[in-house]
Amino acid sequence: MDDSSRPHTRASDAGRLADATDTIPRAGSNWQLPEIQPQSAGITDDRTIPNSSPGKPPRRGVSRRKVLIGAGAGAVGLGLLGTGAAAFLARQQSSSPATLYADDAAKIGHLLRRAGFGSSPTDLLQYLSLGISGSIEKLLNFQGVSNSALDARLNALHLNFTNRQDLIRWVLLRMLYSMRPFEEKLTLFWHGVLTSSFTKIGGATHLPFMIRQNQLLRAKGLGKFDALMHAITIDPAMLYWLDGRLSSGRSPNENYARELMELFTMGIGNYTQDDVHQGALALTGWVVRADGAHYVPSRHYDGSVTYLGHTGPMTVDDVIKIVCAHPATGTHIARRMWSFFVYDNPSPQDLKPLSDAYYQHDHSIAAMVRAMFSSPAFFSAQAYRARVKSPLEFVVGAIRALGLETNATGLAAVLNAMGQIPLDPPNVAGWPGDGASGAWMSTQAWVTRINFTDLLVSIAAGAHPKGGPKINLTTPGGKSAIQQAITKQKIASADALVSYYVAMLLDNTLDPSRRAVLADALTNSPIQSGATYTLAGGKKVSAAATAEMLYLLMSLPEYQMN
Amino acid sequence: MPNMPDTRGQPCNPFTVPFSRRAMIRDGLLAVSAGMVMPTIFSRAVRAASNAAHEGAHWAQAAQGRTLIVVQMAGGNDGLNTLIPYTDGAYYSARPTLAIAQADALHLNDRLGLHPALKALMPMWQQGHLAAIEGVGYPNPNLSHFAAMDIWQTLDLNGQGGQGWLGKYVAGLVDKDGHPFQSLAVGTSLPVALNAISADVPVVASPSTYRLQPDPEGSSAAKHGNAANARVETLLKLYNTYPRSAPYAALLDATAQAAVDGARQLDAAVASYAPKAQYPNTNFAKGLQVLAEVIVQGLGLRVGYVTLGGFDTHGEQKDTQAGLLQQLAEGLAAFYSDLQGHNAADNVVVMTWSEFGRRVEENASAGTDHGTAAPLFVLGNAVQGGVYGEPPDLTKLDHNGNLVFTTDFRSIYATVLDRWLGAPASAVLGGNYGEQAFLPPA
Repeated sequence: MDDSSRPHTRASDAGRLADATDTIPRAGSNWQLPEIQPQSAGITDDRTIPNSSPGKPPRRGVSRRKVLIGAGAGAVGLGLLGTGAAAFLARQQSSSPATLYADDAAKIGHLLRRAGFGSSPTDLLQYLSLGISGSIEKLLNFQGVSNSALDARLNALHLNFTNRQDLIRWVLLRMLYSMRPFEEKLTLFWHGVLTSSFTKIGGATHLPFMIRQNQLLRAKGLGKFDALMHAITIDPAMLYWLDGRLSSGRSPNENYARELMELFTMGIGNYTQDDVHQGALALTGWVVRADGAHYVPSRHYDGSVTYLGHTGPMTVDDVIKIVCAHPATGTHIARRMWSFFVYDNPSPQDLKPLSDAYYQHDHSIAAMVRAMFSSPAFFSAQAYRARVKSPLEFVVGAIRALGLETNATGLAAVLNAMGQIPLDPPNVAGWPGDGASGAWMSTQAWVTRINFTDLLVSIAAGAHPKGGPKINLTTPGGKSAIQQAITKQKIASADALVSYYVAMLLDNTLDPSRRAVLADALTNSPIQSGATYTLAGGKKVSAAATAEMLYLLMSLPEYQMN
Repeated sequence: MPNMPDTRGQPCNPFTVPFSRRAMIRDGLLAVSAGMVMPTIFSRAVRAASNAAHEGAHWAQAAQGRTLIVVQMAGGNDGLNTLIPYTDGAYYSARPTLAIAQADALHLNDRLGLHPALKALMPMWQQGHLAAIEGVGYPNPNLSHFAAMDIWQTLDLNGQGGQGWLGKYVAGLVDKDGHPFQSLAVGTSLPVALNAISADVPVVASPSTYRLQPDPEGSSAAKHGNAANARVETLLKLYNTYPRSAPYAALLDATAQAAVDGARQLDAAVASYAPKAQYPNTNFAKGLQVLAEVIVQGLGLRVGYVTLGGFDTHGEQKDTQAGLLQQLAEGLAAFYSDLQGHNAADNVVVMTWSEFGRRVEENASAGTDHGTAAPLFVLGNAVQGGVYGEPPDLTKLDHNGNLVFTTDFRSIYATVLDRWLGAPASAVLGGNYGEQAFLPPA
C-alpha cells in the first residue's frame, strides 16, 4: 500500500541517514556511544540536528531548527558555538572523570538503566568513579553487596502478604531501593519470561506464593538454567498459573507442557502436538497444598512416553534436562534476554555469543549475561536510547533520579494505566513490550507518563498537589529535592541547574537546540513569581519555572527511551 | 515466545522504517512553511486530505456514521460450551462433567442453545438482532495462543505478522473532519488487529486518566483560560523534531500528537454524556461504556476494540467460563440498551472472536485443552439474526482430537467490511473469501 508516498519516504530517510552517518551509524559498525561533552554544550555538533534535509544548505537547517524549536536566539548561539568549541571544552575537563559530566556519563547512564532502574543522585557518582568495567563488575557481582537497609525498610512497613497491593509494593520497593540493582532487573526479566500472576493463585491465602516465586527467580536467576527451570516447574504459583496441580496421568492437561516449550525454553516450531501431550504426561504428579508443592506418585503417569525423540518413563527431571539441552533453547533465551536488556530485533550475530556461552558453560545464565554485557553492541549507538522505557523503568527510574522518597502506596494505579503491574502480566507470554518495546507506547500510556511527570516534578519542587492520584511521594527531610540538589552540587546559575538535570536524567546527552528549550523554560518562563530557590552565590531562581523545566525534560522523547 | 515482528515502531534500518504518514506530512509542510505553528486539528485535516489525494483511499465513503465494535475473547473460548449442540450424543460423551445439559441450554433452534450464562443476550436473539456463525476457523490450525492470535489479526497463516486487518481498514479511511477517534482500543496497549503503518490508533483505559494536566497555576496560559496549551504545544514541537533516525521516533511523535488531539475531545465529550443504561461493575463493561460515550457523542468512531481475557480454561473450567460469558453478555446488553436509549444503536454492529475453541474431549482437570474451530457472534439492529455457517462434525475430528473448521474466519471479516463498513474486502484482506448472510448486501 501507499506506493505514491514511498519515494518521498525514501528520499528523506536517505537524507537523514547520510546526515547522521558521522555520529549515529547503523548496526554492525564498531561505533561506540557518543563522547560526552561537558556542561551546557551537550554532546553533539550540528550534524545530529534533527530533520535537516538532504541537499539543503546548512544555514537552512539552522533557521528551520530555530523556528521549529522556538528557542530563538539561544539556539542560534549554541549552533554557532559549533563543533570546535565543544571539543575544546571536552578536552579541558576530561581529566576529572568522577563528575556528572564525565566522558563516560552516557555509557554509565546507559548501563545503569539497562542493568538496573537508572541512577539516584548518590550512586551515579559512585559508578562514574568505578568506570565502565568496574561498574559492570559491581553490578554483576551483587551477591557480596549488603541489602540490609532495604531489608530494614521493608520490615518496618509490616506488609501484608495476603494483600495484592502490598505484594506490588514489596516488589516496587526492592526496585527502588535495592543496593543490588541488577539482581532486581534480572528478576523482573525472568518474571516476564517465566510468568505467573496473582490473579490465578487460588485466592488471597495463597498470595504469599507469589513472593516465594519472586524469591526463587532472585535466587536462581543467575545460576544454571536447568536449576531455574526445574524449580519453576514445580513452583506453587506456577502450578496454579498453568494448571500443573490439576494434571494427572489419567488425562493430563497440556497447559504447562506447551508453554514450557513454546515460551520458556525452545520456542515455537521445535516440537509437535504429540510432544506437548507426552510432555504433559511426564510432568504429572504435582499438587499444591497450603505449605507448597508436593509430589503424589499415584497422580504421576508411570508408562513410557516419547518426548522430543527420547523414549521411556519420565519425570520432571527428565523433561527439564531434555528441554534445557535442546539446540534451540540457547538462542531462544538469548533472544529474550537481548530484547529485554539491549535492543529489539537482535540479529543472529548478536545472539550467537550468548547462545555459545550457554552451551559451553553448562547452561550458565551468568555466562550468557557476561557475554551480553561484554558485546560491543551493548554499548553501541544502536543500543543507546533504543528501547522504549517500560512503565516500571519509567516510574522507578524517575523517582530514583529525582531523589524522592516513597513507601510505594498508590504507584500500582499509575503503572496500571501505563500498562504494567508487577506480579500481574497480561498473559503467559508476559509483557509484549519486553520483546518489542514499541508496545509500551500507546496514547493512554503516554498521557499517564506525562501526568505522572507533572506530579513528580511538583513534589520534587516541594509543592503538595491537590487532587490527582493518591500516591505516597515525599522529599527527603520534607525539603524541596531541587533545593537540596542545588545546595549539594553548589549550582550557581540557572544554566548550571539545567546542566545538572540534563546530566542526572539524560546522561548529559541532549542536542543543544533542545537543551535550549529547557533553558528557555527556566529563564524566560512567564511563571517567575512565588517561591524561589537560592543558588550558590545567592541568586534566586523560580521554583515553578524550575519545575516546568523539569516537566519538559522528563516529558522529552529522549526521556521516554531507555 | 514467537519472535514478534515489530511493525509499529522504528527499528534500526531507516529504509525499512514504517513512518507515520502524518508525521511525514507535517515534516514536509513545516519544511516549506517554517515558522508556522500548526494547530493540531489542522494538521489532521491536512493528513486526511492528503490521504485522499495520494492514495485514492476511497472506501468508507459509503458507510459514513457506521461503527464496528470488535470484542476479543482472549485465551481461547470453549465454543462447544458457548453454542451448545444439545442434540449431539458425541458432545455429551466427550464432556462427561463439563457438558451443559439440554434442559439448561438456552435454545436457539432445534439443535443449538446458548450457555445459560449468556442469558442477557436472549432478548437480542428474540428480536432478530443476534447472529451466531458456526465452525469458524482456518486451514492447518495453530494451537499456540500467540501464533493463532497473530493469524486472526494479521491474516498471515504462516504467523509472520504484519499489519492488522482493522489497522489496514482504518488507514484507508477518508476522514475530512480529522476525527482523532475514528478508531479506538480500550485498554493500555494497541491490539495487533489495529496495528497500522500509517494510522495512529488511540488507546484509552478510562476518560478520567486520559486528561492532560494543564499548565501550572500562575502561568500566562492558565491565566488566560488556555489550560494545557503552552506546555503541550512546546512538547509537541519537541516530539516532532526528535530525529527521525532515532529508534521509535515516528511512533513517539504520532502517539503524542494523537494523545493531545484525543484528550481534548474526549474531555469535552465525556462532560456531557450520561449513560442510559446501568453498566455492570466490570472492567469489560466499563470499556464498552467508553466506546458508547465516543459513539453517542459523535466523535466519528468507525472501529472500536475491547478485550475480555481469561478464557484459557485448561482446568476447573465450569465456573471460570460461566463467569466470563456472563460478563460478556451483561456488558453487551448494557452497551446495546445505552445505545438504544441514545438512538444510536442502528449504526453499531458488534462482533466477537477468540483465537481458537477448545478440545472436544475434556481432560481430567475438569478443563479443556487448546482446540480449533469455534462459533462467533455478530449482533446489532442491522444484523439479520440467525445461525450461519456449517456445524462442525464432532465425530470426524483431526488427528489431535480437534474440530475441523467449516467456515473461514476471513469470510466474516469480508462480510463486515463489504456490507457494513463500506470497504472493498479484497483490498483489506488481500483475497476473496466469500461472505456470510448475517448482514444484508450493501
